[in-house]
Amino acid sequence: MKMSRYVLKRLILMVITFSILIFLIFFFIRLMPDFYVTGLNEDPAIRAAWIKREGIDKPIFEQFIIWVTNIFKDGNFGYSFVRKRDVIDVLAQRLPETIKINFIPFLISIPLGIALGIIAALKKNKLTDHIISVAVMILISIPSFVVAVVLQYLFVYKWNLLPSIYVLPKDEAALDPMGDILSRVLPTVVLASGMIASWTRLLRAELSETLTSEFMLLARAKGLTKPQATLRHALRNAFVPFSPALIGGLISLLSGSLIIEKTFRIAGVGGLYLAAIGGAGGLPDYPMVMIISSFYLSIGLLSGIVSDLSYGFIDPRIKMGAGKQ
Amino acid sequence: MKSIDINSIDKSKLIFVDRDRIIKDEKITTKPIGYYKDAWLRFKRNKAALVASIFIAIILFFTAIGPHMRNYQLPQQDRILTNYFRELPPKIPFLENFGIFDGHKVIKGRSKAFIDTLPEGIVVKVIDERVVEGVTLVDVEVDYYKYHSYVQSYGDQLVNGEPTIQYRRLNTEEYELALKKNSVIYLKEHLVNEGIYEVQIDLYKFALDSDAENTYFWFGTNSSGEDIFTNLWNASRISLTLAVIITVINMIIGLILGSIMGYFGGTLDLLFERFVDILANLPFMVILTLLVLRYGTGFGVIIFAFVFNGWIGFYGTTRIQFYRYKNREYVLAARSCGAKDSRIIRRHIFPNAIGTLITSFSLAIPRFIFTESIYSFLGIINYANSTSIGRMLSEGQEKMNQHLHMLIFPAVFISILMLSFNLISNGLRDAFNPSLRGVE
Repeated sequence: MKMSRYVLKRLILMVITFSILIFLIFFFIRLMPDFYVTGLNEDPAIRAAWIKREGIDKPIFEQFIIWVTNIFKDGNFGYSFVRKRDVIDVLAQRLPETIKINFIPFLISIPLGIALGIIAALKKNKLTDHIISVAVMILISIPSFVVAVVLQYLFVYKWNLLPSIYVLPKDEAALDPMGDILSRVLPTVVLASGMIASWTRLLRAELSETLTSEFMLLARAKGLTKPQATLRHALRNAFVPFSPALIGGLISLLSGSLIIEKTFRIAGVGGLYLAAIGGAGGLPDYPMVMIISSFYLSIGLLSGIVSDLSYGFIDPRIKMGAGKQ
Repeated sequence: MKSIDINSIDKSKLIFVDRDRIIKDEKITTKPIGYYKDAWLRFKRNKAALVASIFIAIILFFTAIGPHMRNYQLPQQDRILTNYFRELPPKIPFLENFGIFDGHKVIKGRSKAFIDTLPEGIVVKVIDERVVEGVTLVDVEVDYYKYHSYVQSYGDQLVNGEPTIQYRRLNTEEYELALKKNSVIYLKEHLVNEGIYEVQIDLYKFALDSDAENTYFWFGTNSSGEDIFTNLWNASRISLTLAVIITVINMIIGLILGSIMGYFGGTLDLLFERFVDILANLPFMVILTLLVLRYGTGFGVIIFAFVFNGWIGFYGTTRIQFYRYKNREYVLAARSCGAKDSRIIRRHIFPNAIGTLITSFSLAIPRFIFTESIYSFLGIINYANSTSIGRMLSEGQEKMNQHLHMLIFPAVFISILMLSFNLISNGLRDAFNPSLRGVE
């Protein structure tokens, strides 16, 4: 099968999966007993307009069609009575914050993770490797919120090195740029350390496997020095499974981390989701839950498919979609 | 060529050459080592995994008996009374002699006049003394249990140089109980008509049957006065029980479906694979929140949410194992002998998958505990009448500046638990992974 046909097939399958799941989520949310209570205390005119626009008085399947049509017609994902705005606007406003807090740790973690992974693999079963592996093990095992909370205590309360345990809200941050940067140090460190640990572990495993393969022996026998052989042969092969993970990670950055956003009170998508299900006015903000669920779902699907497809682009030997022989 | 007639040979010329020698192979002196023995030997060599197993054993021990070690029953009996014991620092017998977990606490910014009226033995150390607006304020380290007991009986304010006595209103029944426990310090008034006694009582004797000096909350108390030690092991009990239940259910579903699909393959497998593909893409967080929003957070709901697409991992592992082994020669041999499909699955293919499954099982347990603690930290999982590690941590985070003990115990607990489980699963993976055979 040709590459383009395979990609097309995967994309079509993804769209089918996406539609089915979105419909299920939509269906489930519209079946919530308190869904139709939404907005009863509001201006009846607004509520009537809402019912008309989203077809709330129609059967659920029709509601779904209307919902999808509205999305394609004027990008309307629903109206949040809690926030008195269209949900897509709220999400669009929160998304940059999530990306901002996640992107820097991601950038920091790649070189560090790669370097540590290479060192650990080259020095396998020596002291350096043991130290790195133990650190990785600890960082992977201990939940990030525990690390975050302990660091908050140490750096803010115990040693008074940083001004605030929470990331400053936008209006305060505008007045105090230095404080804003300082308050972002901890979430960055926590996120970065987690990412570094997972990159290191992945690369160490892949690289130590390629280092013991036979083509490495051949490379050394041909007269390449160890660094040459490692750089040209082992590392390139180790990167075949490693890079898709990186690319997948890049896309999942969008969905961010609920934990970090809650622990550091970052006004991102995760916080929005928690607020929506917590229900500011007692009732969950269902349209918000719907859009963020679809958002997480699409991010998950997208990062999966992109990292799968990138295998074929990175390593031409891997024939995507080749049938079983 | 002249042929010899065998029958004409004289029988007496034929003799046995090796009549008395028994020829056999050299006897095997070592014991046979089976698959599990081999894995166990390798596991034993992994020191980290062994130490981790010891930690897990200790945790399991305390999880089993921990909640019963303290006969501290206040929360169930009397919420209001419990509230008086909130935020007490940890105090552990024996260790208190070394200056840690001794129930001491620094109290900041009390007036010096009040501190001076405290009886002997409460104030341990004066840390800071300053004058603010004509009043001398002190920061002192106190034996908090004694201090707390004193303040509960005599009040924490000075009015005209005298402590304001704390009076409590008890009904007849409570008053009799207080008398029986020898905890009444002074009876101020008895309102006969209403059956109410206004008394000054020793709270510790009244509530806990012991003096302040002899009261030990080993890990301190939380903001509603519950014993953190008891809560911690209760929480651990819930999380571990749920972990085992959910993992076992997932494994059973995964095993059954995985072996059927893997063994029979074909169209059924193809269709089912599509279904699994769709199901696996549903984010767990969405499943959990929707179910919780609709049905609340009973244990049944939580279990269902985790099982909903949690079995897919086991399913995948089993299916692959079956694909790998079903066309081997020994399976063909078994079939030729007339073995039924169910027998081939049970006796010939399944045992090959066990090593991998044990490893996945041991990985699934810490993964569940991790996830559960995250969602209970976020407040999405919120059991009605029991606490959880995540909730203890999020309470601890709010109070960590003043009451570090509320954070530190659950934090240390979950860290050790996760680390130990991960080390054990790594050990098991290495032990069962045949590709490691002959390395080392």
